[in-house]
Amino acid sequence: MNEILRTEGLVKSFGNLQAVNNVSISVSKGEVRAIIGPNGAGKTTLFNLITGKLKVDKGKTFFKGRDITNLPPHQIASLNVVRSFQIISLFPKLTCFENLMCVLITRKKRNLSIFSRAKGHADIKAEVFRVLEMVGLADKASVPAGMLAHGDKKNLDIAIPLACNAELMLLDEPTAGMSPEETQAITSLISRVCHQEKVTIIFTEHDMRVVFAIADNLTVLHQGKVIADGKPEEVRDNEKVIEAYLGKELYV
Amino acid sequence: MDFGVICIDILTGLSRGLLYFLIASGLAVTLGTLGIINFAHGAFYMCGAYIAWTVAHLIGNAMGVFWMGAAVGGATMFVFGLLIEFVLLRRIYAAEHLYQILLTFGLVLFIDGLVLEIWGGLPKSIFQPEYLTGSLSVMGHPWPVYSLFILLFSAALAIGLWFLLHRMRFGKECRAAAMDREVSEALGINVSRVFMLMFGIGAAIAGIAGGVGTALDSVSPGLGVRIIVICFAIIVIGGMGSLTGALMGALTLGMIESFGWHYFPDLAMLIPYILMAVILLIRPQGLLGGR
Amino acid sequence: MPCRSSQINLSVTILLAAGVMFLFALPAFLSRFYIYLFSGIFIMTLFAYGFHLLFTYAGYISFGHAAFYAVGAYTVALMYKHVSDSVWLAFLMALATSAFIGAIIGALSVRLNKIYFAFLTLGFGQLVYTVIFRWRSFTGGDDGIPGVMRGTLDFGFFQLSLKPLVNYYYFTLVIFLLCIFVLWRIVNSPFGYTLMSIRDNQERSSFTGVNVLKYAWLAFVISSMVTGLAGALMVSLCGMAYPELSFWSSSADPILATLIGGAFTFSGPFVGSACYVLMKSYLMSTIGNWAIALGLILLVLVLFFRSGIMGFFSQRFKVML
Repeated sequence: MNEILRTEGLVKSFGNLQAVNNVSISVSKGEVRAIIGPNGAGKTTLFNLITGKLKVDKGKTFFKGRDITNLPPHQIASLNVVRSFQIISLFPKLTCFENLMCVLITRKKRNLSIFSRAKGHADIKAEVFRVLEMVGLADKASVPAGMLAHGDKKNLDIAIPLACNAELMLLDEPTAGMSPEETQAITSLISRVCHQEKVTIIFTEHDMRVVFAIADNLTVLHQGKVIADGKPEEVRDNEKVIEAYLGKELYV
Repeated sequence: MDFGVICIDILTGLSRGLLYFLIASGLAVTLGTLGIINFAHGAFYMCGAYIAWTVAHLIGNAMGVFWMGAAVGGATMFVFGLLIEFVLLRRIYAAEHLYQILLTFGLVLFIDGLVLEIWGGLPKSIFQPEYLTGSLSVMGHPWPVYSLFILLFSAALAIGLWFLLHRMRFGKECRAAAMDREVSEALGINVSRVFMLMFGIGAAIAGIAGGVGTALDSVSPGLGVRIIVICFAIIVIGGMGSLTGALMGALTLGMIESFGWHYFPDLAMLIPYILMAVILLIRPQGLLGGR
Repeated sequence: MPCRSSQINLSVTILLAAGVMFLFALPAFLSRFYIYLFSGIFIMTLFAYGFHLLFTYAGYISFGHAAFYAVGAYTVALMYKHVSDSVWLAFLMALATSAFIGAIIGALSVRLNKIYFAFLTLGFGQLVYTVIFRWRSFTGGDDGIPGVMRGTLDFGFFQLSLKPLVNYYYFTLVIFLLCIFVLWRIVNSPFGYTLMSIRDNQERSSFTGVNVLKYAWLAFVISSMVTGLAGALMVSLCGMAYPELSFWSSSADPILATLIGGAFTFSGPFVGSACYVLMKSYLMSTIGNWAIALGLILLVLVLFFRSGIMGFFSQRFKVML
């Protein structure tokens, strides 16, 4: 089966507000899927439902055929579904190296190792530096994450799911607040990761240049519903989408 | 099944629960507006009790001395609360919750030591005005007039508090400041002053409750900690965040304790903890808590 | 930025070795009073490390750790009274009971956020105090358990009586050093870093696959065992178990000691405990009502000197101490 993630009729309401309304999507292995839509369309809520941060009101989520609906976040993460957040979320008192080291310790299920020296695990050390190189933070390895510049923090933020070597990565607005050069760097990084490491990536974005540069398929959300789903060129010309978006952002 | 006895227990539970609510409401309000968990809230109650005792001790058995004691207790704690907010708490709003907790814990140590220094370690005898002693006959069983007084007094103060928060301008300013400090300041609300007053009010309520609720527990050092643990049990049981939750929790605890002290006096001391543990096991968000 | 160069590494190691030798040599030139005091310092340090593990590495404040201190003490006292003279057995049981009670309290407490956790542990500490106080038949209630002996260490071929103060001092010192070593390994292990990730960002940690509740609970249990061990050592030193060991103000001791010494360093609790024990001893003999002084000290620390003594040196010399 080539399908890696499927949601069936996900529904989530907050009081009277229906944030996610009957969303069903299907993502194939190795695909780069962009989920777009105006603010408040429900993109982040959808991510939260898939990754277990919120409980669904109705519907199911399947990962590689397995029902992961409403599982606790750490279980979903250990199944190799990793996400990043819209707001930078790091371990501020730990150094960049230690940030990624923690992630890898969890990945390799060594959390219960009490007597070995964490920094003595050579394989983890090598892997951490590999990822730090990938995001350009190798020279800042000993800097506490809380003291990095904003751009570096964002890089480290992306590095965390990268270090996880996940099969499925959900990136919530990975280029938010970045300069054009940084955006370009992250975009090519995501593209490389997908094609080299064979990772499936689902990301939300507002920057259409990024979307059209790397996305294989688009899903458009509006007021919690899926209003379009398909190849970028098809979606771009879809009337409903243009209507929802007020047009401007699509004409770049 | 003697319905009368059950009735007495229910009334006692109500009375006790409402007093608990009164005490806990100060904590809930401070938490809601300032976002600070004030460990020292129980210590404020204790101070109110000691001050009321001192007033009674000094003035002797004159008319209205009971009310004066509670009033002086409340007023003193109000000022004390203002001072504490101004001198100490203000510096710590920006810090991690960790330090806020440690600060108020330090306050508890300090106040406890102060109380020990000023009043000594022996428990103080409780003073009740004559017109509040004696008992009523409810369904053929005696029920202390004092308990009725507590019930009515606590209910009245609680209603007054609700009125302050929801109908009066100051209350609305408080709630606005609690929700968003920056926006409130932009709207012209003097948030610093609001916070200070709110903390003072919370302390004053605790002080008055201390002056009045002396029938609840012996007045001795360590009373503060016993009270704060109860306050916290109430917040856990009822669900954090709302006054209604505190009310729910207080009444629940009051009721169960009333029956508990009647039928299992040896174990009754453990009731708050047992209840807390049970709630944590089966419904961690509290009876009225969300998600 | 704290960093480690091999030069600093070497000096720290030499200092540590010298320090250890110094501690071993102490009884030769100290009076009985000070040998007793220093034993008390080692014990308070272990108590503080119990708190410190949870606070500095997992990010949780426990206001009720005195409960385990008391549990450890009472277990040893009761073991000597009712079961056997064996020091090994008594201490093993102390570890077991602290772990057991820690497991229960921990399981209930870590489910909530960190603020609730603080309150809850306070409550449980008081609960243990109340139970000890009222269960006269078992614990002796208000009177406590007097006359707790120091016992004899039985190595099979050779026995060492712990009754002489000097012997007990060395016993305490050895256990203390072993514990510190174990704790040092733990905090630098993958487990330790997992705890730190929970401390820094619980949510992110959870989303990388860490079962936060499980690890917080484990940290709590280890922490309760260390504290229980401290209580076990204490009861034989002073000869008496009493309910106030579990009182909330007793829980304040390790907190103050850790803060004074430097909460965010590894050596903080030791330095802090030494200062704290000496200071408390001085205050008690001069002022009498030391609770006021202690409260004030905590206020000042929290407002102005959060990093504590070793924290100050850590920043000054840019070394992780």
